[in-house]
Amino acid sequence: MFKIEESFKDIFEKYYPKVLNQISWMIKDEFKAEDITQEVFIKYFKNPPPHNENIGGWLSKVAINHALNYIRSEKNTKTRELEVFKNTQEKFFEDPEEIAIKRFERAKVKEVLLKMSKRDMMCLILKHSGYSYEEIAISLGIKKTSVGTTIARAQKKFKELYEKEV
Amino acid sequence: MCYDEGTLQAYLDNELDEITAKNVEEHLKTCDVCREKLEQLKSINEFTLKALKASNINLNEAWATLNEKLSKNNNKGGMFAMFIKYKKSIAALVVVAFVVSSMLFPPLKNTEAKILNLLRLNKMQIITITPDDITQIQNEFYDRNIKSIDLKEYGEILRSGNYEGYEVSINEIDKLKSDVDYKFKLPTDENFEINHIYVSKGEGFEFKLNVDKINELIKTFGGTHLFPKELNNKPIIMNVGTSIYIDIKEKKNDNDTENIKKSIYLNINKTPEIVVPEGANIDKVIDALANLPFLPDNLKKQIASVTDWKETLPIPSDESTNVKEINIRGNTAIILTNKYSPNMASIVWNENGVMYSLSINGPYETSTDKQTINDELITQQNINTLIQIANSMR
Repeated sequence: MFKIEESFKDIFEKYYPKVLNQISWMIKDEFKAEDITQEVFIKYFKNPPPHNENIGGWLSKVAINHALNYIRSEKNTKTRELEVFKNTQEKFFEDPEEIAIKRFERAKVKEVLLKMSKRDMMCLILKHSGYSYEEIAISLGIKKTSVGTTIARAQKKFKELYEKEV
Repeated sequence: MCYDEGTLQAYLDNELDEITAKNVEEHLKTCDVCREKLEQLKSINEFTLKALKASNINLNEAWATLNEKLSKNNNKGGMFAMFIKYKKSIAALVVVAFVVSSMLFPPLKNTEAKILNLLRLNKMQIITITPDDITQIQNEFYDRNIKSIDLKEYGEILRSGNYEGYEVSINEIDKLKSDVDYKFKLPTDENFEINHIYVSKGEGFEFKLNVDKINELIKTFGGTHLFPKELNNKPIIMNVGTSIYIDIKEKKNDNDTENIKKSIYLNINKTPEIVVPEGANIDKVIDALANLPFLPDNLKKQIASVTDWKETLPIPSDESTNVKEINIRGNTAIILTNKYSPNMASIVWNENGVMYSLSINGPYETSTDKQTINDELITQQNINTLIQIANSMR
């Protein structure tokens, strides 16, 4: 039926953390982020980009689309998930105290990110998810030479907003 | 000539070509203004880096999940998928219940501690949880003005063991058999062959329950059946052991011009083991569990109907699942099918201390003659295929 090639595994190992981080910052539910990341790689596996395409750029673009689709569908459907369990379920296996702190900090970071322009926000997310400038350029459709400038500006803005937030 | 922020940022991120980077480096030696700018960018960089720090990721687990999903054509199905789905999404409570009901262990690091009983969960029972059940539980909590529950107050669950995995090539099956610490059977039917094997090493969970807190909650709801105090904060360990995931391929029949695509998937696990430490009374635990005041009657009845919890692994399922029992080599096997996905089916059974889960998914929708085969027929054919494979296992 299919055989999983080593090369696919290499790609997976290289990019899975990046894609997961990227999606985790884009959507609220981090448990769902794992699912969406898996979908991105399933798409890559079943329907890979042409040979000369930049893989990181392609994956990150697909990840953006999947995450946005999810956000859209999330708005339209009422989830039946139990609020009671929502808070603790997804990181069930870590130190609870650490989780609480982490969650609080992440929530704040997300809030700040949402206040930024879409391009600045995505640029920051992609950079800190570990993508290269070239991959960021492809993903966001900007020139590679302007990635540095965008990052510098976005990071400054982020710090300002973050410090105002406290 | 001084450099703009973008170039300096790229310099910081190691994204400049060699020559430009060299030039920047030279320039920085002599230019205070640029050095100052760089320092500033650096500090901002570190700030955002810290704020957007990546969380830990378990690559092996993710890879195993992806393999599983790929081999199932990304369809939710099979007992284990269902189990995982529920474990993670609905009922943290059910997990806790499941844990309490079955697993009592001495501390992991203190293995010389006295072990009284070794229990093997070699029976299975489906526990059906409907969306209505969930809503009902939710309402019970809302009625008492409990808007949120912090599960960590009621206990903690930690991972133990390692989650490493590796692929095994088809001609290393003999080696695999000697590597795995239990004997397992593989299909021998000539019409099928093994396509891909993935092994995930020993896994386990460690639990600690805050019995006082749980009992307090039960009392809030007017319940009187409490959990035994002996369990309080005692580490409980459940060993899942090494899992083997196998893709099975249908050998192509020459007469068969049509390529009917199906995924067949076999999951092998040692039966989960439970050791009961001195002083804990399982019957009391089950009694408390079956009488949790906020559980809907439907669930209470199901829990109470399990005749021997000491040997039974509860399998959460939902109302879209059809369940049927058959017999495989004298062992009770459960056939699971899904109302909404006629092309999926699973068989689960326990044989000589090993749990097998065999799933099929397909045929995938093809544009041609989709209408000619009806759903019931597809399901029946799939079940027959699974039974054929299961019966061929040696």
